[in-house]
Amino acid sequence: MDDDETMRVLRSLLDLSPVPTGPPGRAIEQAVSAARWVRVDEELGELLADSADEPALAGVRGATGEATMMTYRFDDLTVVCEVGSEGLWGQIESGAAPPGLRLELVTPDGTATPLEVDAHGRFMVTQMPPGPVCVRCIRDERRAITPWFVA
Amino acid sequence: MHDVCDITTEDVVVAARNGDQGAWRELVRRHAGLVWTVARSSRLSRQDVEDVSQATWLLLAVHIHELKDPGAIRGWLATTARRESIRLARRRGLETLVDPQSAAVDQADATAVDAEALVLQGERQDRVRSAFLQLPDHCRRLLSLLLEDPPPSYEKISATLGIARGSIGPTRARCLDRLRKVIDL
Repeated sequence: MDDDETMRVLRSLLDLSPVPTGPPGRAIEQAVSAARWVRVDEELGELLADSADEPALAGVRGATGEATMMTYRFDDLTVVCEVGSEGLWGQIESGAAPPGLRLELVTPDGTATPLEVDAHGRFMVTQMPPGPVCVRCIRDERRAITPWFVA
Repeated sequence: MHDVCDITTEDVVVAARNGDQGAWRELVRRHAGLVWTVARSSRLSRQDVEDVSQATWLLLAVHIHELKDPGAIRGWLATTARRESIRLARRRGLETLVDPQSAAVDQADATAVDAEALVLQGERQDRVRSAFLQLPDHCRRLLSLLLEDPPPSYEKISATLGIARGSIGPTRARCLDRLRKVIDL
């Protein structure tokens, strides 16, 4: 490769716009704002299972409103979250919530809404906020969140 | 110097994970287009694409400390955006998986291929940027000026860098030789 060709390649690579089909400004702002979660002093729940990982059949169109189910573990606590067209449904696998346990639905701006957990460890949110959410588990002064998901 | 040449992707990721807001903005600047393109690949609505994009960046924020290879962040972002897109597309009843034996070409797959190409292109960019950063300072300064569009005159380069006009061409040749020794362009 001669010098002129090398310069041409350099110019095309180093000057290439990193945003060839640009996202809107709002998406950029949201991406920039996500930085607030980089150094949050919270543990991350372990994702044990995710129905999105299950293979779909070739040639089959998914049923409209197909729910996805995710299972998270926080120490000895296992929480199942199912997201569908009707909102978020969840359950603490062991049944009743351990004493002192609180669950919250969290939005990217940090707003946390307490989740009401019934005697069987179930909770439900029918009016989901727009955008991604996560579930925070607060127990004995420890806080852990699930990974973010779109409801 | 071109600002895109100033710092490698690995350095940006490490700085971002240490809480450097500027580094995080640089990550977004470099990779927002990739995330957006991948998110669009499942024919989701505009709002859903926006949500997938936002979720991908939030997931990066909480997982950035776990990235074993900071230089592979484009692949991580593309995989994550694709995964979140598929999850949402399934829920919306949008996904049509094409039988690989079928001759039909799914537009979503075609877009996914474009996204993969973007990932490869980005990785090549990162390698070239990294090789560029290994050059001596005088090479980087000279080549950066020559890469401007349009490049300044040799007179202006001579005045800016304080080197003789007659040495610009030979210096350029030596610098490009050094670059080609560290990377196969």
